[in-house]
Amino acid sequence: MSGRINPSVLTKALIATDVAFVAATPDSRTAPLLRELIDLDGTNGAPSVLVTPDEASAVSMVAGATFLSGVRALAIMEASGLRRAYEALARLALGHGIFPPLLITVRGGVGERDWWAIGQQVTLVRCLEALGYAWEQIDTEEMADAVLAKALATADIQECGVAVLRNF
Amino acid sequence: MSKIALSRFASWIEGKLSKDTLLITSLGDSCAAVALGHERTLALDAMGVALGLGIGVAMTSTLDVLVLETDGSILLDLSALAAYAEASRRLANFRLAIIDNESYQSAGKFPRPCHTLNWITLCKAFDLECEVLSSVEALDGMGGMSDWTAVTVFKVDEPDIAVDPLPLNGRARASRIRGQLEQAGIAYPRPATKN
Repeated sequence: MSGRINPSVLTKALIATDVAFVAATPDSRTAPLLRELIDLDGTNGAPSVLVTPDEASAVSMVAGATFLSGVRALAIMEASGLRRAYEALARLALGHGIFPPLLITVRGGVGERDWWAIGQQVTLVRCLEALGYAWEQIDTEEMADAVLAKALATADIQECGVAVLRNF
Repeated sequence: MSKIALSRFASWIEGKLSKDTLLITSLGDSCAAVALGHERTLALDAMGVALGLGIGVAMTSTLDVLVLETDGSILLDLSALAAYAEASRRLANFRLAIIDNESYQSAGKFPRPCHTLNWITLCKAFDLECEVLSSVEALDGMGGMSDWTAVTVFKVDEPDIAVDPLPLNGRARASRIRGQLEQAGIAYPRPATKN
């Protein structure tokens, strides 16, 4: 696993890519980023943020923001949250062709020391594939802008889902 | 006091919506009966999704949004109420309505567990104002959508009409509402380009 990415780098990348709205379920790794975004509270080009206890709600909110309001938005969650959001995503993506973009914390890969995180890696890619989501991973701070810009360009088309996997 | 029949409720609520109101409905016959009567509607084939989706669009647009949920759908994702409570200060253009028929309608009116669900108490736990309407007379006393509490529950009695399946599949429904919003000047995310 690579080193952790400074949350300010991701905040700048979200601003640079015109992300207007974020719905998120926090975990220990996303919390610093979310705190930074909440402090900005939609100012200086930062996205507005809504924290929700359930990833299924987060992807639903982002579906409304992207597909109906036409703005760029991201649902932020830990990899385990994808499993929780799976039914909502299946209904939206496979049933209606609505693909909320995702930013997911990768946990459970080689180098993981938390035993409970291993299962997250086992299901992450399989769930994304089953839902027809394309994905790319940010491994270094230098990659953040470019990966996010590419992912959102594809998400704009709304022909498939796009997930950015963040290696913390 | 007269109980609220589904046909009465469907025509009543359509009378409360402006043509520009975006209606987002959950699945089920009760929601379908209402969805059929309003042009600017996204009828979801999903439970536990409509409230979140409505919050997302209301937070990022100036559209007036009404989400119509069912009792079963809300129970499936109660945590969306927590997000609604958090967002409600920022949502002047949003209301949540819930049809409560105390049963699994599509399973042949199979009784719901916790038959006497106390909506006022439930919403109070999330610091959300709630009103429960259970009679035609109560409906007649209701003002426009902007006067409604954050959550309004409608106790709708046995459906008195046969609701046909919605005429479009899920993707066509989504495409249809997207087209309507496009015509209203709410642009789609950047169009695809040929490189």
